[in-house]
Amino acid sequence: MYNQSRHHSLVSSLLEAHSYPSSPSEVRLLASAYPTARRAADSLWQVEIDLEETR
Amino acid sequence: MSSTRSFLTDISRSFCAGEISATSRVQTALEKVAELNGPLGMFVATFSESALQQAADLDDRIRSGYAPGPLAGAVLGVKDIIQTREGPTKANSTTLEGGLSAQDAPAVAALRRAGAIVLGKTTTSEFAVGLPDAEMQAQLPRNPWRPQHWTGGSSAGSAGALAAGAVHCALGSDTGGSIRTPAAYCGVTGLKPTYGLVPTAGTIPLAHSLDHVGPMARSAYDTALLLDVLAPGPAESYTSSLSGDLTGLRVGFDRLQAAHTSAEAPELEQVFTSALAALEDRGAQLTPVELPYYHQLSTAAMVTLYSEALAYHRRSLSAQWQQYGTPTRLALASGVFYTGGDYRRAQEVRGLGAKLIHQLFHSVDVIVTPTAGTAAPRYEDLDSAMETRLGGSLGRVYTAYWNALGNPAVSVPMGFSSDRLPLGLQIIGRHFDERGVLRAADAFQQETDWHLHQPNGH
Repeated sequence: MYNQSRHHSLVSSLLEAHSYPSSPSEVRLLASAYPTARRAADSLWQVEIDLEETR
Repeated sequence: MSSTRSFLTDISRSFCAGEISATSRVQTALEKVAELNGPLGMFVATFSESALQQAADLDDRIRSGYAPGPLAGAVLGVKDIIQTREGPTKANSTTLEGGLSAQDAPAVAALRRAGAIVLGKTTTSEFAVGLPDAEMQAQLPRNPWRPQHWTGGSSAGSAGALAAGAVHCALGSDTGGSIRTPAAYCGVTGLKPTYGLVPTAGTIPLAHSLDHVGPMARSAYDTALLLDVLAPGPAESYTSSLSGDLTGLRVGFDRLQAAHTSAEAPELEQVFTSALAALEDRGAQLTPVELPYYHQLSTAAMVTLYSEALAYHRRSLSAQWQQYGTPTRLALASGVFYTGGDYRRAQEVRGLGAKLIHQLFHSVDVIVTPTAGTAAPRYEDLDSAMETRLGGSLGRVYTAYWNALGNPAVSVPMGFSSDRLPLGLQIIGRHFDERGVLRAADAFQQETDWHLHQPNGH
C-alpha cells in the first residue's frame, strides 16, 4: 500500500501546496515518518462506531 | 500540616509567623537560578527586580496586619506560553516578534492574588510542541537528576525548576502530556485538570480541544492547594477532601503491557506493583481493567493535536519557516499528513472513547497506569523520539489518551529506574472528580516517600 518514492513525492507535494520551504533532508525525514503516521490514522477507520449511539 | 506533605503550607506558615520573609525566599530562589540555570536551562527569563518588589510588598503588608493568601511567599515559575505582567510571552520562539503583551493570564492572576511571587518564565519546547533544539535554544532543559537526560516536555522548565528547588510551585500546560511527562521524568507532581476547569485564556494555543493549564508542585497536597486557587468553586475545597484514607476506593489498574515490553521497561513492572500495594495499604480495592481502544484513542489525540496545531500555525509556518526550530517546524508540518476526514474520524473515536470510559467509571472510582514506560531519555536518544512523534505517536508515554478524553489525571513519583531516574504513577478520575484523583495521590504520598527525594545537591 505504501511506496517509498510515491510517498516521498506525495509529502513533497503536500509541503509545497502549503508553501513550506522545506529542505530535501526535511522532506526525507517527513516522508520516512509518513507511512507510520498514515497507518496510525488509518487505524481510526477500523474502529466500529455507531454514530447514533455516541451522540 | 506535616512539611513532608505540604511544602507550600510550611512556607505560608513560616512567612505569617515572621520566621522567613518573602524577600528572603525570593533571594534564595534567585541564588539557585544564578547557580543552576546555566547547566539546567530552567528559565528563559527571570524577573528578579519585580519578584523582589512583590516580595517586599508582601513583607510590608504582613507587618501591617494584612491577612495573606494561602500561597503567601511561595515562588512561582510560569511556562513561557502563559502570559505574565512582568514581560512578554514568546513560547520560547523567535517567530513572535515582541511576544504576547505583558499582562497576567487569569491563572497567573489568581495565583498572584493568593500571594505567589512570579520569579520568571520557565523553558518550554517551542510553542509547546516538538523537542529541544540545540540550534535555536541557548540553554537546553536538562534533568536535575542527571543532566545528560531530558526533563521531558513541554513544561520542561517548570518541572526542572521544581526538582532543582528553584521554585515552590509552577504552572504548565498539557496538550498530549506536557505537564505529566516532565513531572514523571523529574520526580515532581503535576496535574492535568478536567478539560475546561482551569481557564486557558492568556495561553498560546497548541490544539484548542486538547489544551489544559494545570498546577505543578512537589506534592499532591500542594497541587490541590494550587487548584483551590485556580478553580475555586461552590463545593468543598480540594484540600479538604484529602483524608489520607482510601477505604472503599475502587482503583482500576492497567499496566499497559500492550504498549511496551518488559524488556523495554524492566524495572517498571516492579515499581508499579509496589505502587499498587501502597494504594492497597491505604484501603483501596484494586481491580485490573483494560483501557478501551488504547492505541486508537492515543492516535486520535495525536491526529487532533497536529491538525489543530497546523491550523493555528498554518500561515506563519510558511512565512517564517526558517525561524521555527527544526523539531518544531517538522512536528507542525506533519499535520499535512492528515485529511479533514481523519480529523473528523478522530473526533468520532474520541466520542466513542468518552462513552466507554464513562461506563468503565461505573465500576471503578479512579484508574492508575504508569505515566510513561521508561524514565527520562538521554539527549542522544531524542532523534528516535522525533521520528516516533512525526509518525503520530508519543511512543512509551501514556498520557495523550487522557487528553483525547479530557479526564483529570495527575502524575506522582512512584520510584526509580535502575539508574536512579524517577518514574511516574498516573492517577485518572471521572470528569471534574479532581477530588478523587488528588485524594488517591495524597494518600499514596502519605504511604510512600518518593515525592521527598531530591536530586543530589538540590
